[in-house]
Amino acid sequence: MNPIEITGARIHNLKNIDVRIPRDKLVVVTGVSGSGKSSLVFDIIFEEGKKQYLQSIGMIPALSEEDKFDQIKGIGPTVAVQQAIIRQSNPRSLVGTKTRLLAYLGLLYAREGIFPCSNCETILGSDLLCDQCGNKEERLEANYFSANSPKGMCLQCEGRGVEFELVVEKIIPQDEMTLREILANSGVESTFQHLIKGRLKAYADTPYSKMPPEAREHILYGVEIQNPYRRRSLSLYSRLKYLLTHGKDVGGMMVMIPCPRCQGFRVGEEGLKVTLGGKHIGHLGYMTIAELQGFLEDLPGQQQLSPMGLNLIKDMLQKTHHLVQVGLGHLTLYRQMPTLSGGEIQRIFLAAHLDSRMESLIYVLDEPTVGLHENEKGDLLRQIAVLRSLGNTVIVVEHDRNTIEKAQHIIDFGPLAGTRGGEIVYEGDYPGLLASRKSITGQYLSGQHRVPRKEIHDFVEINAATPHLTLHGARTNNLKDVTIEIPLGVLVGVAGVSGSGKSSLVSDTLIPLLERHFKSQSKKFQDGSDPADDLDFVVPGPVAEKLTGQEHIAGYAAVSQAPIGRRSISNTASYVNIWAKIRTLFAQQPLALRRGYSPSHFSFNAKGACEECNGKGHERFWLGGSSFVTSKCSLCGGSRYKGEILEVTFRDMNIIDALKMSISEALLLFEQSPPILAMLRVLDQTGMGYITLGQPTSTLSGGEAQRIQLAKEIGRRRKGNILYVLDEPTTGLSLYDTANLLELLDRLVKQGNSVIVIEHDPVMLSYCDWLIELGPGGGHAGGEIIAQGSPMDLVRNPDSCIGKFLEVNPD
Amino acid sequence: MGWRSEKPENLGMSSALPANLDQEIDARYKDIHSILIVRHGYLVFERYFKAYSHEDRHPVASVTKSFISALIGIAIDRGFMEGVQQPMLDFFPEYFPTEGDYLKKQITVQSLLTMTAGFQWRSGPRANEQLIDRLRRSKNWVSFILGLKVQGQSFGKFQYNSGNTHLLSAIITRCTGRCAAEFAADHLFDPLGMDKPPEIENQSFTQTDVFRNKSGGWPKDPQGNSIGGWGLALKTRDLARFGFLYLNDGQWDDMQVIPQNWIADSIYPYTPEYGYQWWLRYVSGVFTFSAAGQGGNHVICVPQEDLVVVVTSKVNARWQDRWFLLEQYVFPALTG
Repeated sequence: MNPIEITGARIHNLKNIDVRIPRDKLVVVTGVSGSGKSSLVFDIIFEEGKKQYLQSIGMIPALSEEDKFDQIKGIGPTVAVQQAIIRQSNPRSLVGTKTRLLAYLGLLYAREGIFPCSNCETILGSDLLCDQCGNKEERLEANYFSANSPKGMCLQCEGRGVEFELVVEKIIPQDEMTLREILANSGVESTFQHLIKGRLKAYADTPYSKMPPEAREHILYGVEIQNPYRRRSLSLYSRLKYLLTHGKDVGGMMVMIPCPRCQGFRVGEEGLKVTLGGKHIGHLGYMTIAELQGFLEDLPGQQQLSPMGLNLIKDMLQKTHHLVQVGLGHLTLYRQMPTLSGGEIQRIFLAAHLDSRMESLIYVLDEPTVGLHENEKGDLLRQIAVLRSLGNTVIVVEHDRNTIEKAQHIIDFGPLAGTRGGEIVYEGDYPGLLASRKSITGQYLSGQHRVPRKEIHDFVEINAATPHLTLHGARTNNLKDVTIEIPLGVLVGVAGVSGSGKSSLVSDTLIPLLERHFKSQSKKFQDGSDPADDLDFVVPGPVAEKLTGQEHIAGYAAVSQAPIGRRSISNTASYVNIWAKIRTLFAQQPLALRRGYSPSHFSFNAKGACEECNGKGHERFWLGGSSFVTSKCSLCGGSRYKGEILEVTFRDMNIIDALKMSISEALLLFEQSPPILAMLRVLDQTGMGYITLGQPTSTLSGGEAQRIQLAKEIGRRRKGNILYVLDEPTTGLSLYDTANLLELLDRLVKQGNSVIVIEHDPVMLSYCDWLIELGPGGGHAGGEIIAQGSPMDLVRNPDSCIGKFLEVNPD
Repeated sequence: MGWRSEKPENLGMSSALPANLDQEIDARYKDIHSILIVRHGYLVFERYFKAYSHEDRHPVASVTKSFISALIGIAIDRGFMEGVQQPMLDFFPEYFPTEGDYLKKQITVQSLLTMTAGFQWRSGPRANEQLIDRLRRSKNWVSFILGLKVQGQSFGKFQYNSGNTHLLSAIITRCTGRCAAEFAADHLFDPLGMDKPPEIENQSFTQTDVFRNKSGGWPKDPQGNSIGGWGLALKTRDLARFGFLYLNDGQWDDMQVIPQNWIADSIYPYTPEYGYQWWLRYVSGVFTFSAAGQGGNHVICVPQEDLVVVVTSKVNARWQDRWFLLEQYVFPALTG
């Protein structure tokens, strides 16, 4: 087949490059963050392939205003699995619904399920006629087995499987407590101040035992009120439920229990009566995919099935096989999609493509190994090889050494990032990459450049005198009553295979308990979602005995990979809170003062917005049907601003020029403005120097989002002695960037802070002073601490899985 | 005593109306089975299609709801019930609400009449109520409905729910000792000279048994309550009697069949488009109230014009709007 040939690629920072990509091969595109690889692979190759295919079938018009490249030849239909575009936020979306396994099972139960007679419980034959009492049962449709369908959901919990109960003894430990005392004890006092001052003023100082039932009910459960926004007044029930369903700790005052009506199985009574192999669909929902596979394999031997039933099973087994092969066998069908890591989500999509078995496609994958333990990468890479062997081209953006080694063709971007990147510095095979002098990637892989590695004496010694946090009796999700000491003032790594419990331990238990303790310090949720979105969200709160040792730290900062904000007006500068300062700076320039401009004149969301497009920068034209074309605004040409605003300059740059600058460039521009400069410096040090000030935060990758959040946290003026918690910070980082990050984290520790990282990357784990490893497997097979100690300890520990991958200098 | 016919021009209506309607219905309304117009108490237009005649009882789906509403009014008037503010749970002492369930304790007969009880339910477009399938499969319909959660954010808001009306029918059974069909026979059908639909005791409750009412009677639930939300089958001329009764403030000949204040209460907009199981609507600026059922079954009353329009149609999930006929043909034909 003809290779893909692109000439004059110049989108973003690409420097008018020419590229030739062979077809039917595994091609790996690598390079430091921001070097341009995603721009080539996703913005050009994927988008062009998609566009040309849709045009050829008449779905979109052949119109384009973009000037991404001169020419492209040899392109075919493209399929992409890109982390940034598949973020999952619907809590009713389950692994079982996304993979369609629950739908298939619903069909299987409807068709082959064993029904008992509703009168006398006799098991019925396939004609559903009871030979004991003559009753004829009606078949159930497949919907009756779906927890998301009105016909199938348990009517008490609406298919969520859980209910929320107040634990009144914890809220009101003594009957004599007054309303004021009760609210103070609950820790949600501030929200209810108006209650004490208003409706319930009379009871503010009355003991609970003497309050009339209506007042008690009002406090606990709320009453109906006339308010356009809600029919119920605020109550302890609603407040605690909100906190608990957002993963916060509520001190045991409310518990989430399995719905008493469906026992947590989510499905209505009608559906739960029907069995296959002795199990109803709820049982299957809680099985892991690996367990389900075993169950389906055994089923034909246990009962008679029709040809349709056997076909359904065959299709399902193919799906489960692929899911296991990409390292997702530990997930249960009822697991909510938003609780999966970015890597897991991506692999679910990848598994779906493996099911399709199409040929002559161009697959474009975005770091498919992210989040995988070293042990698990081999299976995934084998599946990627299968995709290719079916007759497809597979283009993978990756940093992972194993993947790069297996490539049949490598394209390396560099030399560095942003304006200092955008070129191809190497094309060829793996040995050539290692030998190349121009490729930083090659130099790191070959060992010519070394990622910082600690000497024995560099590791901080951990002994009895080291202060630590102790988490007691953690049982969140799959954790098996874990008690663990976490040393402070050092770099701690938490490792383990997918599903072993790392996030459950750190993000779902430690953080909520810390948050409750330091309540005043951390008001923001780490996901940028709208509270109104979350009516349905159920993220279980932590289940643990207690946390001790918090007095050793002054505060904490949890930095996750969750997307920052979906609102398109948020950009890098505004996110790190320097946008207002920059605008103020511009408003102080002589021309701006003369014209009476305020800082809001320099915002394209406020006074400075172009009148034609309202600051959007583009106009959308409807061409009929569902075809739209987007075109640059005719008035502002895409700048989003009114023309006269752009006449104001600061050191010869107008506001647009400033937004287009990368962080590293902006360091020079704002060198005389200390508050702006300080934050820019931190961003630069986190390896984000190549991001532009105006880059919308919604376009950042998971790893980039995390690093910006980290920079923002570090940039806050704090007393020191802060615990930083990072979730897989090396996502999206090349070895070069990882090296920078390690230096940054090192600096944080040397300044007296503590750092915990959840990681898979052996390089980062080798750098940690202390490691905690969970396992041995995932799901029910995990949840235990299998090893802890310094990297050297783990290398020598036969129980450790990660030990053999660590790179430590020998004694 | 049947309806007397009169020419349109003698009733302040255009003589062209019959021909115009015939043409329109023939062109675009293939699912209409009968249509009838009464003005000033006289029959001015009557047509039957698809082998239906004035002798046939036709299933009218949710038009049944308005009948239940009438029966509640009569039951209150006769002292079988205290009034609309009575809590629903008073009638179902066997049901114990749980501790956190106090909204349910606040549901009154009025909440059910106005469809504001707040039960979790799904009403899709075209009255597609998905929980009805689960309702009919349950062994005890009243328990099933009472067992539904009451959602705080729905309580007090309009949510079309046939379950509410079924509870009203069960309330009639509880407080009068007779099912709604029996009670209606004595207090509504007989006084109006209407043909009584026979009561139907179902042995099974499949989709066909419960919805495809081929028998022309009024089916019951497993406990013997007449189905409240749907199920009636009546003759077109009898439907017109019902509408005319309402137009005359509940009076028929010299009898006050339904209390006058109940009529007024039934057509008050507790929620913008709904009274006590009656739909309220302005057509070309004129106030109308109607009983409506799936497929395009209507009893439309226009007090200002002393007009009743009855349409029966095939009970279908999707249908063409019948109001068009009223707006574009009937109203413009009114000359005085």
